[in-house]
Amino acid sequence: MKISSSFHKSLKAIPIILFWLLVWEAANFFIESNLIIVSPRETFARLFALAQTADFWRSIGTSMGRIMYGFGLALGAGIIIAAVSARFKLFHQLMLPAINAINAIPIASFTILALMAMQARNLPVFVAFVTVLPIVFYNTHKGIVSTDPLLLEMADVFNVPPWKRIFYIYFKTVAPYVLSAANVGIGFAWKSGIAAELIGIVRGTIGANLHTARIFLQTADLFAWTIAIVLLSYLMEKLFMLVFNRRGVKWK
Amino acid sequence: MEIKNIYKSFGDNKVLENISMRFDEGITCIMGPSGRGKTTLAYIIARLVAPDSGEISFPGGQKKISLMFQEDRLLEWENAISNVLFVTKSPILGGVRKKREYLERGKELLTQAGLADSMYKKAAELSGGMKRRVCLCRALIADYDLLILDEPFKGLDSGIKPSIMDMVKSHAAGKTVICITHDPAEAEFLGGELVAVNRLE
Repeated sequence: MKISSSFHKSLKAIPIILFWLLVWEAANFFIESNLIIVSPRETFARLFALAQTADFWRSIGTSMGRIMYGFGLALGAGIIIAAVSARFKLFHQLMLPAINAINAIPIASFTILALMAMQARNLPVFVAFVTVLPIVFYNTHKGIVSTDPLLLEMADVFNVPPWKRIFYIYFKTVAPYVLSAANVGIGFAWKSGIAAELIGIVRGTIGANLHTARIFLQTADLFAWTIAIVLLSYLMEKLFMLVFNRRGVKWK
Repeated sequence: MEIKNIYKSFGDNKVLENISMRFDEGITCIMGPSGRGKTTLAYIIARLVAPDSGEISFPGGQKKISLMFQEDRLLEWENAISNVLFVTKSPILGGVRKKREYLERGKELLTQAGLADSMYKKAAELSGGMKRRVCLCRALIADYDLLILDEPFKGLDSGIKPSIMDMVKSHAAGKTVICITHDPAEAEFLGGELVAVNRLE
């Protein structure tokens, strides 16, 4: 039933994808400059060619590893900071302006500042971290403070130990908030991480390949890498949902 | 257990005025219409609400209190047995024997409450009356010297009510139980001391 409904959904998406491919093809036909735009056929042919090289997969592996590392750190730190903030008002008052500032500062500024302070290879980790941290913090904090006070009062009466409160009350209430933050954050981490690689020209990464394609006016490579980024981002979000959201539904 | 000269107001609303009572072993029913401060009194005894003035004294020091709230306050996403076991003192690691004992005790209580077939159903899937019975089992499994039951039979259908009241009576033996109700029939069935109030003062 589930498979057939997702299969029907995919079938419905085919005409829409075909429509946009036609728009792309038409734009390519009218613009006529291979420096500005390349056809879908050329793009996919280039992507196919790139996918047969070891460098392509190595770049993807490097970028993915570092960006996911930053994402994981932000997820952990965001949850811890939010939990402590929810417990201690003063800590929340101290942390909130810092998190708000991190949230407001443009990624480009962060990247340039970080470039001066750290090695280029750590840049995607750091940028993914600062991008995802506020999202996780805001969501988790919202989840914790929205925990039913009547349940906490009940736990007080029975002197329920902290581990049980965390596991049975907080965990179940906050998990959907954390999952939704992680779902959104994974896409943001990916985009900001690759932007950081591009600005910092971090060797052997997707961002560096985009940079090279731009310098040598290899528009087909630029399009192929962009398609690869979009596909990877989509796959990672789907993978995350598959692994965690199923549990999330169970938790609810 | 004794309370002396308890006063409690919420803003201009004087809820409790100079209340003094003594609760001995067995069941004491506090009976009266809604909005007369019965639940507030229960919360003060359970140390959930602080009185404006007055004294609560337990002979031989602080006692362990179990409370069946007027609202269910169940973990809706957990099944009935997990809700009951939530208030037990099972350790995070190990303690297999202790955990097994609690589990057996929980199952026994739920069976007594007529929930043998529903103990693995999530609380959210249970009817109002079934939830009340889970709440009662949760209050009974906790380690307590004083048990406070706030409208424990609310929402129970007439078929099951007498057996649940019997269950309360059997568990009250050797303990101090305060039962808050607005139904004279319930108070009469439970027996014990009766404190009828129109206004708690």
